[in-house]
Amino acid sequence: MRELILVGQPNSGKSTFFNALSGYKALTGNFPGATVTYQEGELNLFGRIYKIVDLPGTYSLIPQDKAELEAKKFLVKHKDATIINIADSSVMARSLELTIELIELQRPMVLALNMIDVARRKGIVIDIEKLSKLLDIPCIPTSAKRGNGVIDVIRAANKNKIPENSITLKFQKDVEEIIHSLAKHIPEKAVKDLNIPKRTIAIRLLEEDLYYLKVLEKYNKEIDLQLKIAKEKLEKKHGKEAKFVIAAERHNLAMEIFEQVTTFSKSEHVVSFGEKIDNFVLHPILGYIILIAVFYGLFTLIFNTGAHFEALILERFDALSKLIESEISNKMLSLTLIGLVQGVGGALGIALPYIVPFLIGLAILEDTGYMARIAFLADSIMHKIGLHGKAVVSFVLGYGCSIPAVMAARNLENTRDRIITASLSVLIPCSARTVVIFGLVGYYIGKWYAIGLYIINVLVVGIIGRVLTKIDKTLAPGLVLEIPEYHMPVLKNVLIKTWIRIKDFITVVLPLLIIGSIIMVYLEHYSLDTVINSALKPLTVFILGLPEKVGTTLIFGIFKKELSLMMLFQALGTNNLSTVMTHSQMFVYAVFTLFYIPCISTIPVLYRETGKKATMYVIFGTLILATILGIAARFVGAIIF
Amino acid sequence: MGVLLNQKEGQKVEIVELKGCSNFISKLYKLGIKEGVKVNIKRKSNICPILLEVNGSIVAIGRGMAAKILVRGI
Repeated sequence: MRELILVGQPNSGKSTFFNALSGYKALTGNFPGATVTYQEGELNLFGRIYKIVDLPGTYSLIPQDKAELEAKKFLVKHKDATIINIADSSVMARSLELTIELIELQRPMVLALNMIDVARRKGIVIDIEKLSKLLDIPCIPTSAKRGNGVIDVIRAANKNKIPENSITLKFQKDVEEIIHSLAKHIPEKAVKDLNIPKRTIAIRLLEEDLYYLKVLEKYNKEIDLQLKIAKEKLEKKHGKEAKFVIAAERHNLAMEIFEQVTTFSKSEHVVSFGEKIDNFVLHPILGYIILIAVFYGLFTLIFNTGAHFEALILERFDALSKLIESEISNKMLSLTLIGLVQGVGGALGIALPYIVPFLIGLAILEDTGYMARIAFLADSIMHKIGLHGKAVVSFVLGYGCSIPAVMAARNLENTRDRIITASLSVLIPCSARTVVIFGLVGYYIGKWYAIGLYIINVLVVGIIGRVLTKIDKTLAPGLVLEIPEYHMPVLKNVLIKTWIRIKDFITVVLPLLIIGSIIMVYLEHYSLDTVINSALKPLTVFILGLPEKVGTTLIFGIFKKELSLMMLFQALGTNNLSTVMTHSQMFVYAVFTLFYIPCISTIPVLYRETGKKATMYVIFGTLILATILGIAARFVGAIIF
Repeated sequence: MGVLLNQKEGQKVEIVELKGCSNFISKLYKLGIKEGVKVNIKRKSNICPILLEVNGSIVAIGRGMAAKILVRGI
């Protein structure tokens, strides 16, 4: 089976290309780095079967973040695959730098000049034939969004054209000489194993590509010395670090090719429609007003849709539980079934109605290109916390569900930012905690107290962020982010993307919900809750001043946060909480639930993204934080209520 | 000559020097911001990052980073 690997820079339309071809799973996004892991699909075209892989977008093959390293490893290891390089034709000069890096690998390759329509609109005319000759690979104009040219790319891939005659791709003479002298010392065996030409390996070594340095270590220790000599020579002659000499050479080469093959049909700069929109969207005052309006609209939509479906679905499941209770006499079977029904009902009735519209909204924000603009607007605020604009994506996601929020932290370049952002994002009230805030504080105490809790939450997240970034003083580079053009979102892409994220939720969260619900039903049935309640008494009664019976609800809140409120009615045996809890107690309870331990579904994801140590800190740290804030709420409550 | 942060909106400048650690430089290089490259300052305010046009693409640069990029007006 032929293997095709899609490689391209972020926002080049790579995932859209993938979706246009296979209709298989692929994440597409306009936010740089939306494809966090690679996607695979199978394609049957003219009777041939292809395996097609969509790698995470990468600006260069010299990895700088986790996503780029993934792309790089995969590419080098799949020696026999054909590379399909997707380039954004409207930013050809920069795209060509990655193309040159790929050509250096000397593997079968095709260049897809994607978004050719956008380029034309901008007045950029590309001499495709000439480009094809210069690079010695087939170059195909495409518009993946409209499905134009994608099949031609696959046809061209069948040629298995290795760009061996791309003789124009040579650096300056003296640089080439140094590369050549280093290349001589690279052992034949390494060249054979890597299946990459000597010259390319030498270039990568000069660029300090850790992947190659590590591989080469196995063969020849002497290479270190030779590399040092070559680097010194380059640095002496050009006055900057060797890796930047190479990067500059490649840049010049790309510019040279770009100038040879492109002409501009429009001489004057025409203000595009997107730029006109940006005059408002990126405006230092209006921009924030629009931002607030967008979120207000999004959340209103989510809550209205969610509430509608919640009532509808829960009704059915309640009826089903009652039916089981009355019809099945076997206690064991009936308890297990009730737990099962409640678990599935909780997921379908409470979680999904809020999460699905949220994810669709989010996918639209990403695909239109607005998400990158949010990062732009939020940069200065995020700087106050010690992070930069891109971190805001995790926080925005956090209002929906902590799981995608933690996962989105991958987009950040350095480990420190990644861990801090992921840890902070679990403190953001997710849709489940929103149920507690509105259902308890909003309903019984008042709407403004609920809104007040959101404000307190933002302040606490800010302060904790400030403290964390102060503890780890690693100098974090600021925001450097491409702001993509606006795009009309494609329904298919939005749906595929939502589906993939929902699938994550279903496979990770649903089983836990079911198990949790079954355990809960049994605990209740055998009255084991009293044991838990008395064990938790020091915290609940003495420290927080809550009724003893809330103990179990806090434990189940770890399974799923909205359960704590539902259980509260059950545990206290009432339909009107104001008869058994004071306003002050409700306030303390809500504050505690808002901040304590992330739910059991978030913990494994947090572990995967940040490691054991950080996860432990988050679990115990949030518990301590919630207790402290709970005590504070108790004092404040005593004064204001 | 001065740092990017002190330039005005609408100005056309040439990048002269990137002052910072090599991680910082690599990050900018990848988006085409290199010595000798000419960029347009598309948008600059007192709070938001600086918006540049670099060879047809639009790139946002944090204010802290913009203070480390030396440019010359053209």
